[in-house]
Amino acid sequence: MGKGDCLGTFVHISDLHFGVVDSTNGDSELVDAPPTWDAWHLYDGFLGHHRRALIDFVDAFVTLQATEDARLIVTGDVSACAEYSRIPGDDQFGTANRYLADYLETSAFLHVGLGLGAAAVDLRVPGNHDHWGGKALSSSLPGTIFGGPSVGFFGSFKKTPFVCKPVPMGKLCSLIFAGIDSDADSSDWNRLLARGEFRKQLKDLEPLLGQPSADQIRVLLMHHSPMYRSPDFFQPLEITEESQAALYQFIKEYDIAVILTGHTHFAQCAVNQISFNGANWDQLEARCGTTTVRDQVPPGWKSQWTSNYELPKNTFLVHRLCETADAGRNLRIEWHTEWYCRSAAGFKCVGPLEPTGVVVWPRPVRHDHRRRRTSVRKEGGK
Amino acid sequence: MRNTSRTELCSVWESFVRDPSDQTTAKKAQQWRPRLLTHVRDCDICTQIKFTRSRDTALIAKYLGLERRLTQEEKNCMNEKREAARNQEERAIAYAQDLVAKLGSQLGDPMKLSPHLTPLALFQCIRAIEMIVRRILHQTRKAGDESGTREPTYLARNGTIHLPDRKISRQSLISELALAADVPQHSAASLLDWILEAAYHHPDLFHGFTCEQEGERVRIVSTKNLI
Repeated sequence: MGKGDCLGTFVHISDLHFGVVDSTNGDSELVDAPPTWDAWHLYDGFLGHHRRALIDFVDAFVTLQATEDARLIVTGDVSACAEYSRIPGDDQFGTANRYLADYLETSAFLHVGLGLGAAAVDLRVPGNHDHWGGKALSSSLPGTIFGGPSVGFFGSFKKTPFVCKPVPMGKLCSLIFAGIDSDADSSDWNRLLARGEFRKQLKDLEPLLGQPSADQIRVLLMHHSPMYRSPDFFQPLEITEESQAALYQFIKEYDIAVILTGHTHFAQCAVNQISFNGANWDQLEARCGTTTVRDQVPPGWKSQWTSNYELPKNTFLVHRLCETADAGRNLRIEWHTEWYCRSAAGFKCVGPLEPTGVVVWPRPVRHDHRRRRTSVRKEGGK
Repeated sequence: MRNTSRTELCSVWESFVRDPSDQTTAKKAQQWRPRLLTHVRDCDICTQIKFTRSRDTALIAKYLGLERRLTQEEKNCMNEKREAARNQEERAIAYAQDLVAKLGSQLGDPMKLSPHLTPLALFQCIRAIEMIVRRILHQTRKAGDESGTREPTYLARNGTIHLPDRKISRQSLISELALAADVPQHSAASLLDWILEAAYHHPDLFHGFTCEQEGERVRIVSTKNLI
C-alpha cells in the first residue's frame, strides 16, 4: 500500500548542543579536555555544535519547508552546557534562538538560520543539558552540570508542560502536541547520570490535555527516551523507574499515540503495544539522534582509552501523516518516519526508519469513551 | 527494592561526596567499593544528596566509573550511518570527478591548482555556493512568491554574487568556501575561479539552479520550487 495523501510534515531535530561560538570557524569553542575526559562519554553533548552541520541542516530544512510546508520539532538539548552571557557569541541559548528563529550573521556564518520567527519555539522542549549551570570551560565540566538552570533557559522554552493549538488533519481529526520537561524533577544524582525524572510534569499536564477524544491524535514531546535501556551499572540516560511507571499510566489514560524524543544521540523507532479499558493500540516512539553536535572527537582529546571512540553522525527525522484506506475502504491515518544522515556531502535521506506506517487514527474505542457518549446522550435527552 | 532507611553506607557516601579529595574518606570509600556502588544506586537517601555541596565532582565521577556502552541497536545504527555517509561521499566524489573529466580539457584540472584540493573539496565548494544562494533567497523570500519566480541572482566573473537586495563579496565567498571544504584561503580562491569559469560551460553546475550566461556574469535561476 502506498503512503497516500500527506496531511502534514514535521521535521524533528534534537540535541543541537550549541556551544560558545569560535569566531574563526563557527564551531563550538573548545578550551582544553577535561582532566578525566575518559569518564565523560556520557556527556558528548558538551563538545558542542559544528558549523557544517548547522549549514547543512538549513539547506535540508528550507527545501522541506518549501516543498511540503514542513514544521519544526525540537526535542531538547539546544545548548552544550546552558551557558548564558551578555556577549552574543558566548550565549549558547541566544545563538540557538537566533539560528532557529532568525539568522546568524557573523564572520563565520554567512546568513545561516531557519528564520522561523515565533514558530521556532512552538514545538520545542528542554533537555538535561539545558538545565546545567553554564560556565563553558571544558576543564570545569563536572562543575557545569549543577547549579542551573541559567537565565537563558527561561527565555528559550515555553513554560512546561504545554499543549499546542490543534493541527487539523484534513477533515478527519486534529493533531495535538503536548510537551513536557523530562528533566524537571531531577535530583543531582540523576542529573549526573543524565537520567530523566518528571512525574510532576505529567500530573500538571493532565488538566491541560483533558480526557481523550476520538478526533484527536495525541503526540507527546519530551527529551528522554522511554524505550532506552542502558547496559551499564548505573543505568545512565534512562528514565527513573517511578517516572517510567507514571509515563506508561499517562500514555494509557490520556491515549498518547506517539512520543517524540532525543537524548541518546542515536535515532530509533519502536512500537509499544498498549491495552487499556478494552482498547488496544500501537504507541509509537520515534527518537531523533543528534542533529548538529560535533561528529569527531577533537584532536588532542583522545587518550589511549578513547582512541577508537567514534561519535555518532548527525541525523534528523521527517515525520509524515498520510491518509490511506484499509481493505474495507475505511479512512485512516498512518505515521511514516524517514531519517536523514549527514556526511561530507550534506544531509541525505537514508530511507524509512522502521517500524513505519503505524496507524494513529482512528483511535481505538475505549470503555471510558463509550461511558461518556452514553452520559452525553442522556443529558441531551433531558 | 529501594533502600529508604539510613545505614552506615549512607554516611560513608555522604562524607565522600562532600569532600572526595580527603584522604580518609576516599580510603574508606575505596574499601567499601563495590558494595557502596550497589548501595548508592539503590538508595533513596544517597541519591538525593546535593552535589553542589561537593568540592570536586570529577573525583566522584571517577570513583563511580561512569561509562556509556552502546546498546546493540545503537551499534547497528552507528554501522548504518557509517555506511550511508560513505555512500554519499562516494557519490559526491564521483560527481566531481565526472565534472573534471568533462571540463578539464577546457578549464584545466582544478586538483593541480593547489596540493590541498581533492574531488570532495571541489564538490563541497560548488555546494557551498548553491547553499549560500538558497539561504539568502530563503531569507529574503516574499510572501506569495513560493513558485520559484525570483528576482535575478548573478554570479559575476570577479567572484561576487549579486542578489536582489545584497551583494556577497569575493572575500566572503572565499572564506565560506575555505570553511566548507576545510582548505586554505588561497586554495579556496583558486577553486572559486575555476568554479566561476565552469558555470559558463556547465548550466547544471549548481543543484536546483541553472546557469545562463549574460556577458561577464552568469544568471542563476531556480529550477525547482525549493526556496
